Amino acid sequence: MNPTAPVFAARGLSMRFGKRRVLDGLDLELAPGQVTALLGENGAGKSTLIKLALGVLKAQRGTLTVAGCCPLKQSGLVRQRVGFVPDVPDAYPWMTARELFRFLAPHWPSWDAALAESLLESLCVPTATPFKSMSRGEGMKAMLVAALAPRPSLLLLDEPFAGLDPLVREEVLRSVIGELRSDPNGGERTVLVATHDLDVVARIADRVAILAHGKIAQHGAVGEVLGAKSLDDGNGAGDGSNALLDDGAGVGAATFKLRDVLAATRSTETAVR
Amino acid sequence: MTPFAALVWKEWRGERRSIATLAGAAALLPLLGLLGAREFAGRFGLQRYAYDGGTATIVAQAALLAVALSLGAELLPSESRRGSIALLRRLPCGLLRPFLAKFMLLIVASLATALVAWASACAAVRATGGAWFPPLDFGVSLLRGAPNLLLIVVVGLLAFMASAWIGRATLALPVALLAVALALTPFWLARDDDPLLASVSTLVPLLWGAALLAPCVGALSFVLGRRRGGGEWRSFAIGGAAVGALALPAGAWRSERAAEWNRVDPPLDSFRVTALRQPGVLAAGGRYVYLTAHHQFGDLVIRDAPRWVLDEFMQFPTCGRYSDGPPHVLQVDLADGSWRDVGGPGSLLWLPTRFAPLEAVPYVGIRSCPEAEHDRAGWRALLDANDGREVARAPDVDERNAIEGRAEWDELARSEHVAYLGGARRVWFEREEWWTTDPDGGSRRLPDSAMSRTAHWWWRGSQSRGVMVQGRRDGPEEEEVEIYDFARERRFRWSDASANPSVRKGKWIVERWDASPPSGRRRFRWELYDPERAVSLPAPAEVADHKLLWIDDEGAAIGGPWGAHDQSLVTLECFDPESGVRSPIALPARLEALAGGVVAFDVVARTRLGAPIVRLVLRGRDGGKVERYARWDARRRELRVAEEASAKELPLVGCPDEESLLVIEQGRRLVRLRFGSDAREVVFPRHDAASGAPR
Repeated sequence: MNPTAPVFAARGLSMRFGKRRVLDGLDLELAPGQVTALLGENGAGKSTLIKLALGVLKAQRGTLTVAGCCPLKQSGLVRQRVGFVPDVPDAYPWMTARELFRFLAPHWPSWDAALAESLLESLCVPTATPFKSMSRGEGMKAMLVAALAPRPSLLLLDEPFAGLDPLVREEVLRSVIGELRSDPNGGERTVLVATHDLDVVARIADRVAILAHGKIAQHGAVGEVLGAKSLDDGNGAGDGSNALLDDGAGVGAATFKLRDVLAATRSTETAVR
Repeated sequence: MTPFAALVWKEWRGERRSIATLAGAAALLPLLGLLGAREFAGRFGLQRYAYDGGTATIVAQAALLAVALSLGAELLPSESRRGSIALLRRLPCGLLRPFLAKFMLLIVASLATALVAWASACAAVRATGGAWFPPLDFGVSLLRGAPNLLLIVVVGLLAFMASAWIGRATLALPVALLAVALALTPFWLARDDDPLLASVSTLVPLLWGAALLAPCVGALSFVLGRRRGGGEWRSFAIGGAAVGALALPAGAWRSERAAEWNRVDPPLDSFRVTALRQPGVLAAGGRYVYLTAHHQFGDLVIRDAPRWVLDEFMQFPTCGRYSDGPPHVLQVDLADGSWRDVGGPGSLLWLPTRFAPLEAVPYVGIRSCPEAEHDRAGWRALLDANDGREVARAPDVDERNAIEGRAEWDELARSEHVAYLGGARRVWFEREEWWTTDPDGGSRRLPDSAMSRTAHWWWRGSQSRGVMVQGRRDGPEEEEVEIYDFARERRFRWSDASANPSVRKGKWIVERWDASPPSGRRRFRWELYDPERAVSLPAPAEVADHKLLWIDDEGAAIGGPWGAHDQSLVTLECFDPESGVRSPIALPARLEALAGGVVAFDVVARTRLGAPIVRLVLRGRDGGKVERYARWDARRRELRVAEEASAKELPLVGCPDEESLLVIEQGRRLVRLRFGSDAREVVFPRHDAASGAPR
């Protein structure tokens, strides 16, 4: 795989569920080593795009290349190269984190057991507690470890922080921020985070893509798109400081900006129709 | 650990409590049940189960069914219900291997639980005083219960298959049964036309098919249905389409076969004259022959492999093969080869029990074939043999049916009580009186016997010129026998009911088993008997152990040494029983060239013809046996063999005249052969002949 080639490239991607069009000619490219936040309203198609990337859904039109492979024709290869964290832990309720890893590890030749162990420790994931007894945050952290252990070149996060209470979310965020950009093979990991949480965007993302009405309405650096300053000017791992959080007005401004973008997209759409 | 091993481990880890619970129940319930049965035996009539070794098998089968239904129906729906299907979808290996892991767990868990249940039941039976193990009956009978086991396995597999379509385990069995019912509808609709469809033997191949295909359909439904985010409906649609794709061609094939099933078409290669004891009869008028025929379908895929299951079920006793169509009674016109289906599908020739082969009949009886009746009432009918017109028809409700009380039947049944004495002379038994034909063509009653009117009688077939009459007065011990000698036209007392004398112009011939010293080996020998003086005389040594074929009007005997088991050749001879002078009878040169010689000979029957038909069994050049027929020419003292035929075995139908005979060739052609000639004429089927629809 060409190191400069986009890890994720969607062109003209269209997807509909029945009469409802979710993606409508979506174009998006993710450069290696960047953390991109996929912003959009509920039902905008963020999860659909991620599922298309994993090859568990099939687009009606368009092409999609993930980690250099077609998710449909080379789904096994894509899934070996891509890590995924769902919005809700979907491991078997009776499984403990270790049992989950025992189950998953044989499927990923690149599974790094030592990394999984160190992540378990660093993220304070309970190893003997079954998922049904874990808190939501613990479950998410376990799923994150399971996604990171194979050292994927692309990590897809599908609203992993939604539904967490602020304290847990803060804990999870702090613990994962450092891991997101950890080096898979000496290079940097590409991350796509689907969310509608501007705080998450501000804390972990370099770039942001706004998905509205089936298309990417805007895509660029966080500051450019949302008019706010990113953690480290879009170039690297966060250092824990957060300008947006420090400045509540910044979050509000970004929210307004996002609303404006969505409204502009909607009006453009209406005009086109 | 390999990915598949991880999947199996995951299934085991997830279901181990259920499996342990089921195995525990399988271990405890038989014990409790059988002990309870023993305790409450008198009250519920369950005692026999407590002591019966076969109970263990029943319990094991029940456990197998319970596990297959409870575990098998739950494995797939649980993934969707708890949302873990999303995790499986994301695995690089796809969904097929998870499915196979579940299937493997189901098989292993079912077998293990059944084994536990069987062992527990054995122990329980032992605890109640029975044997440790049920008696094992090795051999084919061991597999008699296979259909039940197969049915249980199939029900479990179908439930497993249907569970891939739905989100609730409880619906798996009803949905599976519904799918099976729909899939079997074409078969069910055609059941009346094809007896095979309504039989258990059809069920067995269907069960085998279902057992093999159900997991495949389940895998297809699960893998293709769920892999792209699909849910139960997509799985259901794919599974339903798969079931339809499998059932519809099979149903169409069966429907086409059912349509073919009842058709009889003599020109087809599949046409067969049914190999009954009497494959056909000749009408008294000499114009028609009545045959029982059927189609021999060669398209049944499963033919001999599952015989161990099928043997005890569907087999036409008439046709001998479960791939045979129903028998039809056909009327064949010898004049032009045209034919008519006078009996319709599922009809058989029905003749008196002791019907004499080669007899020409004034009426012909037909009856429904029990295997083709299904639930419909059987029937019998009587046709006028000379035109095929139906004289009477009656339901087949009991042993003595209405047909057998009719005068026409009596006339047909008279063939049971007719003996031919040579020279076109015959004797018969009618209304408890003996009648015979005179040389001038009239008939007269034999003088009354002094014996009881309840006497029964027989004759020595071909070689006799007399009739033996055996009567019983009061008890089984007091039998008396008399012989009517047609050569002398008088009766003789006969004291030895165990020996059958062959009546002839000179001295009678009496055959008996004789111990030959010093070895003591029993041989069949004969001696002479002077009826006038009632004394026995030794037979000439040269011919004493000859097998008699027949005795001609002048008293000369035709026969030869008895054949041996090693098929050594024998020579036919004409000899004088009193002087022992012999002269060999030569076979036609053409037959000598065809075959290695005669290994056996027999008289088929004495008929209304002047001389009996001789069946010669020849040793073919290729080592097999060849069957040919001949008539004895008394004037020339030679055998007139019907030489030309294209088959080794030739079931005999009748002799339409003195010079020819009708045989079944290759099991599908009615051929007229001529005595003393190599002429051969295919009478039926002829391609230019008209055909007739069923009545």
